[in-house]
Amino acid sequence: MILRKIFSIAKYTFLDQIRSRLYLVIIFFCALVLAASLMVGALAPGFSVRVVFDLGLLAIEVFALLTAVFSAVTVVTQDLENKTIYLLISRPLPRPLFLLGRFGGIMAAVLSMMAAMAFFHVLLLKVNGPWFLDFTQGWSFWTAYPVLILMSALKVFVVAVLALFFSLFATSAPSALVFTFCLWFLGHFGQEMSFILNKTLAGFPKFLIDALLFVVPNFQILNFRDLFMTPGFSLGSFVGWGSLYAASYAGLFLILSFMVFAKKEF
Amino acid sequence: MPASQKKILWSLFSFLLLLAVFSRIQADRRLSWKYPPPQQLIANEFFLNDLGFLLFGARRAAADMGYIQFLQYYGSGNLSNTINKPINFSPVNLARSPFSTKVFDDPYLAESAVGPFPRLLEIFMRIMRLDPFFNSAMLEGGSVLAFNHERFDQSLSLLKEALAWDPGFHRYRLYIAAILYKIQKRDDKLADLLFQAIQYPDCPVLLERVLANLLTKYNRTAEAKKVWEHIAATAPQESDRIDAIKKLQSK
Repeated sequence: MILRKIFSIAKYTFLDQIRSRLYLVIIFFCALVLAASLMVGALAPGFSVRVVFDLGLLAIEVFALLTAVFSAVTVVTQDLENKTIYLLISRPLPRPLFLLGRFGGIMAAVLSMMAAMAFFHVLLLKVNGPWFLDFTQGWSFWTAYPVLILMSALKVFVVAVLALFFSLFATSAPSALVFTFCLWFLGHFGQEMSFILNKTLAGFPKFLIDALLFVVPNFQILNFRDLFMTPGFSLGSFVGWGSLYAASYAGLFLILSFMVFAKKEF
Repeated sequence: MPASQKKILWSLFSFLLLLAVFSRIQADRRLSWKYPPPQQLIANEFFLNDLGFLLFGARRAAADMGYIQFLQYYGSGNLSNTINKPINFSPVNLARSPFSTKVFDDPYLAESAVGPFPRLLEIFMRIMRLDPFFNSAMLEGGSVLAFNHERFDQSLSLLKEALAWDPGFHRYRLYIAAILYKIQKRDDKLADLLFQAIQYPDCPVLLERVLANLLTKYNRTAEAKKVWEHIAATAPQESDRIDAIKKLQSK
């Protein structure tokens, strides 16, 4: 019964998402950037597969991030603006389930987009010739590629949860967007930052910064795009801990979102 | 929210918190970050672009862009629309620089910016500091500097640093040895090493051409022909393939 309720809200949100103009525009631009990567790849003969591969994965992740963040930030605020939230809240529906359904729908739309773009990306790689299959040194392409997309999806999932939390917590949508993007950048730059700070700080300030960086999500753990071809990288042992970290971190903020949403007065 | 629901959420929250901390520690332990720290990035006019890529966790893509910029520079002689001169690494510029970090204060890079294509070493250092595992680009950089421009010290310094970042990539040692033979003018030894180098698919065409010319010079025409045939069949750039076919036809 509960699952059915969540599913119907998720289905409604999913359909709403894929019909929205923003979603379609983002898909269009992502496809355009992917196609353009083919031209950029042609500028580097001998490395065209690498260029199309790297730029394509980056484009898929960035456009999925944009879709997820904008949708997650606006999902509740739009319901408030359209006053549709009163119809739903007045029913015997626990608020966490409503939020879970809405968020599930957004993530379903984002994952569908990522899957479609990944399919298009593989087609573009194939244009370069069959040797794209040998490109992933040491890994079978068909093992490495889905894992890379999965890890990108996990990153996007964590960021979308953070965006949802900030949209409920912050006073306006722009501030929620700013907070979310700051965490996205910090999550990628934390590793580099901690290196610099460890060289310059000591004692309590160092402990404080280390603690802060520990609280901030570490996206480099999930950044397989850059990691998977570095020597000694163990795909098998890393995927499990990375996924567990992403799932638990996202779950944590999802619960915080439930708590904040439950306290909201309409 | 009813108290029972609150209790469930809090217990779930505590469990997930523990799980997140534990999995983060485990993942951190397994994550050995092998990339150069950001203060070692080459801070030229593309520094902000590189930083942008880093903020999106895209070092490899940034290095790809760096490599394309090398090809444009080597093809046209211009690195960007605005700045075509090498960076002046003088102390005055250093003090003025908005990114006043150690990378600007690199006397070796400053001294090396001479001759045709003065920024070659800077460009390849930039690629290497972004992605030291872009081995093929490093091999190409080392070959271009040593065999096209005879800047052996620059080439060796590039390859030695690349080897320090990725000591498991043994082809760097092969290339370093080949450059040392070239310096000592021991062409027979050089040819042997180049024969080994061209067995690998990521060997730059430049090296194959060097080998073919070397073999022709010592009247080993049958072997030279084989190398030209290999270039004609496998070179990624059409101009190289056409050139190889012309060489074969002239023999």
